[in-house]
Amino acid sequence: MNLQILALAIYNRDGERREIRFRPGEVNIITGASKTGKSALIHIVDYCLGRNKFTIPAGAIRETVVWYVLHIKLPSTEAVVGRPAPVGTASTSAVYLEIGSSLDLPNFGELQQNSNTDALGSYLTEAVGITANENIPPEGQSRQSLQANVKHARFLLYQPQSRIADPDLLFYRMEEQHSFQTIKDTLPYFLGATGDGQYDLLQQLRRAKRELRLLERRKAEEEALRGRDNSRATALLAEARNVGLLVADVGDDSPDKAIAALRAVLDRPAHLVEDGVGDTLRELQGAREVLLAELRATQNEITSARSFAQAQEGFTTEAVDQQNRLSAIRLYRREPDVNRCPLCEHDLDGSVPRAQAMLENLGKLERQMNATTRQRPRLEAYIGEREDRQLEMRRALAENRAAIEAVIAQEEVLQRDRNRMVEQARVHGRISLFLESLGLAEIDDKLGNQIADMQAKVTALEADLADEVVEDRLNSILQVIGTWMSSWSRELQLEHSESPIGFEFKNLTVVAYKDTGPIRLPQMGSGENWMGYHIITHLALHKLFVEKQRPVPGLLMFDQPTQVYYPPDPAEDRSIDDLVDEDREAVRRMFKLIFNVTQGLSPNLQVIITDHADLKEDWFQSAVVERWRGGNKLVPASWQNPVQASPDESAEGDGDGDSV
Amino acid sequence: MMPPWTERPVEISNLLNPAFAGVLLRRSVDGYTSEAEVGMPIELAFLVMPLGLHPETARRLPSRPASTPLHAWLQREENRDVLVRFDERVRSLAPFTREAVIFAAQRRVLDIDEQGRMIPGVEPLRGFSTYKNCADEVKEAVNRCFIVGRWLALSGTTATIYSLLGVRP
Repeated sequence: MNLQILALAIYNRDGERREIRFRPGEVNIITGASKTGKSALIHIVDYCLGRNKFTIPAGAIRETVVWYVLHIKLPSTEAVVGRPAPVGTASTSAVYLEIGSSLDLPNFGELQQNSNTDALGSYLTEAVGITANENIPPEGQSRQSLQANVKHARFLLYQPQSRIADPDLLFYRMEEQHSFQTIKDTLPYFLGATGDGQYDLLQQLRRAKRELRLLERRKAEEEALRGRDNSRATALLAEARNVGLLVADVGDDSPDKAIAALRAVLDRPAHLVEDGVGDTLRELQGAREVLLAELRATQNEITSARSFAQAQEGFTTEAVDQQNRLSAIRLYRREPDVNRCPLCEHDLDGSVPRAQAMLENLGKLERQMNATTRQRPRLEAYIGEREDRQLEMRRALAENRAAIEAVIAQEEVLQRDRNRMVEQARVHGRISLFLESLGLAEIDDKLGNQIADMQAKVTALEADLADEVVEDRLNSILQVIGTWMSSWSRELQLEHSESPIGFEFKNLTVVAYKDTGPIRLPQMGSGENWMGYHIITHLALHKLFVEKQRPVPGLLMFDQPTQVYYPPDPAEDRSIDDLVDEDREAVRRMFKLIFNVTQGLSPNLQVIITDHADLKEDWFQSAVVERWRGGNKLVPASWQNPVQASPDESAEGDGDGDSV
Repeated sequence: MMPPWTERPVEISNLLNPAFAGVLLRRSVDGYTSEAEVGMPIELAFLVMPLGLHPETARRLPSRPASTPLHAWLQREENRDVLVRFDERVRSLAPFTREAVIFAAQRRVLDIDEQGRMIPGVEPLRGFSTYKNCADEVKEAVNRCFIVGRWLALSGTTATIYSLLGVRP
């Protein structure tokens, strides 16, 4: 079960608390009259989940509430997140965060800033399981690449009253600048089209490309040295023949042959008078030791970072493991030393409670910590950096080895024969210099092979990362979503439901595929259809998130779906009995669908609906968590100063002024 | 459990001697109580030295704890590596912390109240300001531990702090 809400609480200046408890994994209904605060819930939840902007409409809530608090359930722990109301017009990034395995709503006195919205965002991003990922815009587009985080998941959770029947825009906050593109950039990740391993692959590709460039540069240098036309090798061979280093007439018609011939010259005894070989060798070997030690140290850093990540994993799943409980003893057990222990001799009758108080606290802590999650830092980047460093060292090592081999070879040549003609030695030296400068490539064109391997690796990685692959997966996923949407649209008897229905990624809208061409949501008619399609799209997306265990909060909030059946000028309260039979049946079908889908995904989806509707059936009644009628509202009447009548301003785009 | 004083490696026993560690703890409790109305939960004592004495970590502690919450500080990319092996450090320093608490409490420099919280003891640290200025390294350590104490007081419940730092009790 991913992020769901256990309780929501508001606090007033006097420290009084008003709380609403929600049931995870079920449909929760708050039914109530106009102006009781129903529409504020989405704004409060979003604010508590880290939105910086304070969008709670003016009115009684803004006037009385000083702290907003959510008690949430996360995959492996619980958390309490609080946000203070902003003072005046300044926005605040302050956050109160508490983590533990079974928490209660905090008392007013405990609410103080110990985090901020950025840190909360990172914490929730990790807690809901969003791994490192990156969306790279296609070539030629100037957008920055984007990493999906919990902020982007929040677009997919809410349908406020002003949006739930919007023909043009399907998602929360989609009217804002850049939102459309942001949703498009991150949705493929949330749907699982890009895959969790993508970020790793990208890192690998970057490394492979860099490596390939280096290899190619070396090859180019080598070719420059060798001379494209083989001239240098040919000239050297001629010289070798002249001084009698080479008797047979070897073929030098190709660079490879010429070089093989030159190598053959080197392999024969030669007279090289050179000193300092021993020193060079010692230096090279010293350097090698240093490199190896660094390599090992880096390897250890990587290993410990990796095992840290694994230990974290292990911890979150084996939370109730006996051993963890036992390990607490290692940390806290005092040696009961009666003579020495000041904690016990301090004050005779205070001694027992004191030791007990400590133990009690530790016990409490232990229980709290039992299933707690550990922060999983984004170690991928940390590890990647070190792997790069390792790569550098490995290359340095390879170069070092080649140098050592060259020196040793030289030394052997030296020892074999010291009576060579100086002339021969000179040519010999030139040949060996020439061959050494060909770089680290060994006799069998190792460099060429390395380049070919690296190119193959780059190609393979690019293929894995190709847009087509992602697009292919995305299309397949959208097909699946489409089948659910089609069958649910028939269930709700929506317009065009006789045709296949789908979610169109390109325009982020709903489309009915007709034999005459596609009909998109804005071209369809009437509020009921818009509302119905909004609901089935969100249910279908969340069904996919749940079934594929994607890192998206298992939470959907629908605000006033039934508004479409009432005239825009509402009475004080709307009753389901005011509707014609046909509409009443449609409302019932809509609720029934939401209930069935939620039950089918139980306990992984929590739906919170705020609406006027209050159906008499048992299944509906048992889902009602609050009834805001007859003076009962979100903000208790006692909080409001009756002397000061507050002007009711309505929320942005809030059709029925449901703002208190 | 700790080997007897005489059998410890000499560098470690000198660097982490209970008198010095006790001073650090006392300063962190002073820092804690300057921000909170209650004493410092004894479980938090185990975090003081790993945060305040570990050079890589201590170097990067914020100078104004009130403006940088622990959680926000940990989320910064450049501080990520603090978390690597942090709980190992806590574990390896735990015996020294424990010893220091007893040492300081015996001498009434620290006290433990009925709720299992550490409070400054009745005995002041005699000649503390002179001692503090004896070396930069000492001065920095005591100042940092004071800040760590203030910081912990502003960081939420003990369980929250432990899980943000990735430490198993």
